Amino acid sequence: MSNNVGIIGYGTYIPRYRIKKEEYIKTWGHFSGKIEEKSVIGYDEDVITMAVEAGYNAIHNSRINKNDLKLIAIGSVSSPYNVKSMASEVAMALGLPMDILLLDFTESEKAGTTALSTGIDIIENKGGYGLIIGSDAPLATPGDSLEHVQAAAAAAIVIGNNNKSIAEIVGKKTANIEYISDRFKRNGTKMMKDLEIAPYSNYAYNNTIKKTVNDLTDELKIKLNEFDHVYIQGHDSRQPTRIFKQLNKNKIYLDTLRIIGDTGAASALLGLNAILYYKAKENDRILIVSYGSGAGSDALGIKVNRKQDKINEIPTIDQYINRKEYINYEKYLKFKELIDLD
Amino acid sequence: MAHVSIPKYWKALPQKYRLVAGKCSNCGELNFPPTTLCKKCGQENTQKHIELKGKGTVYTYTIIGRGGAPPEFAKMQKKCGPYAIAIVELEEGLKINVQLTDCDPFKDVNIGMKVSAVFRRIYEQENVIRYGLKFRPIIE
Ligand SMILES: [Zn+2]
Repeated sequence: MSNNVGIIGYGTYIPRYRIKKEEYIKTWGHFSGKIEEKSVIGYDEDVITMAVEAGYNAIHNSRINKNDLKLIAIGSVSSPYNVKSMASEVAMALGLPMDILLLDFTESEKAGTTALSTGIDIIENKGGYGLIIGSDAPLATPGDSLEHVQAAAAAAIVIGNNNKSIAEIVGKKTANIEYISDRFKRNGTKMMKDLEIAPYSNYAYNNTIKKTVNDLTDELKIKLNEFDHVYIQGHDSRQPTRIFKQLNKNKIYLDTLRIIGDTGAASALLGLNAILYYKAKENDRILIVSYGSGAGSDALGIKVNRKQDKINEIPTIDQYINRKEYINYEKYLKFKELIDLD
Repeated sequence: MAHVSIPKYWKALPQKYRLVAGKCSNCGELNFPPTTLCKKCGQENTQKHIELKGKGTVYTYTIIGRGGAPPEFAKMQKKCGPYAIAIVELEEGLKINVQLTDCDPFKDVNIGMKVSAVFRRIYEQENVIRYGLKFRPIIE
């Protein structure tokens, strides 16, 4: 890669509501997944509204003129529409230029990095800035174990020419080893399904991610432990911490997964935002790895130039994490429209 | 249900989504929404479109309890309970009617509280999601 594209700024959105795992234990007798609590999307929110707020924050933090944006790319598996662009609605809400390229990616829970990777290639050729957003609120049937960790958030970054960036994108790789998807949502249904064949899904997860990460470290000619901060997408913190036995555990930063939950196609970009905010120092190297069942994995290598300056009135990821209102399980079901009161 | 047609809703999107107002180049008046004739000086086509910042304070408010909600908000109220509507005085000096969100109307809302605009689902009509702005307590 020619190192032309970097991160100009980033912005986050996390809904206000949280539910603790104890609420699940009260209702179901157990909690499936290694997280503490998770965010819950409000009744008047969806992936489009979350994307608007994260995108607004990223644009302002980047201090760019929004008329210089050439593309907006959104990754989500939870669009309220099958046919209708999410990016179009978000572009209207943000007042983006009419000739902006609109891209929606919905293929899997790695759609956020699919959007980022595609955006990088386009901006490298086209110039200008790109707004990349992962926004998700995946949903499964209550009681299904995959549902326990499913949460909601959006994370956005503005990419553009590297000479103004807070961090360089030094390399990216993708791998699509065809495994039959064990996690999917059929047309006309609202709920994600997981076949829960643990040995198989671990096998697909491990092989796919190892391939992308090895390809990336080979290309960058560095060892895995030379990264300072690593985020690996997973449904909870178990798979990401087990996959690389040689990787120093202190480098894996999964706090957003532990206290916000599985945010689907927003997961990898949210992890990146958290590392850039809480951890990154000048010259640190970051590894971001996404995974989407049946679609593969992306790995991105990032080198930090500097911290993003705080802008008054634009909430930071830390402010969103600390703004929280706990709800009980009954309210949770109402918010998610899983109890029909009509 | 109060019916707002798609064409009518669409025409109002800039003000509904981003608080686009018309600043009169003749007298400086802010017209929200933008109008053909300035409401202060009466001049025609003198307004430059600007986006208001979406920050303000609660000037006054009222809580809509069970049965008080207009039909398009009845379902939301059933699921979420009472909600507050407010007159918000924006930093630019205008006062607008808004719905408040992300707060408990009984515990969290008071006159003078600082609020900011957020993009939310308002209601659904003809199976189309109508989005727009609500206001919430500022995040500190
Ligand atoms: Zn005037």
